[in-house]
Amino acid sequence: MKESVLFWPVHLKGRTLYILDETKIPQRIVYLKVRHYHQAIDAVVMMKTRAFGQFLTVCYTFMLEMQKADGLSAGAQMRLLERVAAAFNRSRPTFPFEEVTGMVLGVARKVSGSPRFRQDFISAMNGFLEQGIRQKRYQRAQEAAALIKDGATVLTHCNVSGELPLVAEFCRKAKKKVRFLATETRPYFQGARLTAWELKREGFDVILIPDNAAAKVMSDGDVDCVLVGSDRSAANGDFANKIGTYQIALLARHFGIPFYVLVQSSDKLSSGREIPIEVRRDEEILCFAGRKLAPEGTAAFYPGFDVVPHQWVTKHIAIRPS
Amino acid sequence: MLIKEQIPLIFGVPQEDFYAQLKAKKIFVAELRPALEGMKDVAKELIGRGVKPVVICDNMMAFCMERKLVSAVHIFAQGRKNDVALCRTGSLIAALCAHTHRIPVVLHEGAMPREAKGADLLKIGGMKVTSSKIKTYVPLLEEVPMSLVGRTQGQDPGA
Repeated sequence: MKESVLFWPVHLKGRTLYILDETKIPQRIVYLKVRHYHQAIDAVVMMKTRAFGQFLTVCYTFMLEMQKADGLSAGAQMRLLERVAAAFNRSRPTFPFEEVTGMVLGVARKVSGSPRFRQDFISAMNGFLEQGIRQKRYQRAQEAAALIKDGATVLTHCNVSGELPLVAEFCRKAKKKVRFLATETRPYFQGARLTAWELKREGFDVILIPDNAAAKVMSDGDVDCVLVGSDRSAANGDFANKIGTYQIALLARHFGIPFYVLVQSSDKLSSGREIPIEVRRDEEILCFAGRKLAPEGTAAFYPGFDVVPHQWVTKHIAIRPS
Repeated sequence: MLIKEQIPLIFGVPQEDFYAQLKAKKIFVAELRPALEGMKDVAKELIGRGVKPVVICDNMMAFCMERKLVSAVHIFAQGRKNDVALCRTGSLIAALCAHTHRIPVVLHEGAMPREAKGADLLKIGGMKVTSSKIKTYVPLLEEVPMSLVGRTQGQDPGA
């Protein structure tokens, strides 16, 4: 199946990591060239990549640093990986960096006794990403597609890292017609710039709506189900996603519309109450492309994420840890 | 900015009587896509009256309510028929979210939203956001059931 560029937005080639700069889409498809873990962390902090792209950035950055560490002893290589983990863990609060870096360090510790530690680590990580993640995302997309009825309109928010075109493709293969309503997802417009763009590019029916039209389309009977992604999950099924998801879940519950979420199961946090919410700078709402939109003296409040309670979710469609 | 106290939230463009009665020193203002009348016009009016506007995106209203940062929600009607008020699109979200979080909803008479074309959604502040080939839907008004409204204020828009 053809994958959206957003499905696997980070690639490691030799000693260079290529991170898709999602802020440049749809104007240009540009990859940032990263040769040191500090640059990878900058890309994360500046939201050049997000969601699944952050996950891949973490995994590949460890592999990048190990590619370059051929002159170091096994002990020094392990200490390097621990430094990289600590740096990612400090980068942004809501995404579960500690969970991901902990998992990668676990892989490293498993092979750390090998005389070919560096090569075995890289090989284990490649296997994990290809078999453990890529294939499971395909399975998850197929499972989501099975929930969508022929002729359905699916409301989505933000961007599910290239997985929505895959869901649509599975629907197409099953000869089911599906239409998407994508909310624009202010302030970064991931719905307008990424989701609507990638669905349109792959030939699927998509209509862009303002975030404030979600209740209107639901009350008019124009939405058959909601399908969103998630940035972090808790053991009880609560999940965090881009700001605005909570609002949509509340509306879906009110209007009796099924609400589906693509998640990565996790038991590190017992409930969504423990997920820290990142509050970002006022300027990210008040400016666009460096130009000020609001009058002087205006403040803003920008929580980057919100948490949806598990009771409002009709079905969690999960990638489960191996 | 970090908000720690409860403040009112405005979704819509108020008329003079609303501003004249205003006591709060800080107010959440929904930005009102696509024309950004909240971020531009309402914010400017509030600043002129010594009130600090704290702009939020239209998708942040429920979060602010869930975090107990909103004391009351003010929405604005262009008309009223039987048991529904005709308001700018997004008012139903504000009212439903407030109702869920047990926050009072106050209905005022308001200004008609600026007519928006579908293409306006592809831009912000005149700057292109996404591909012009993408289809859009920008409804102007929606109905808010009066059962969600705690009280009406000022001139009754339906009277």
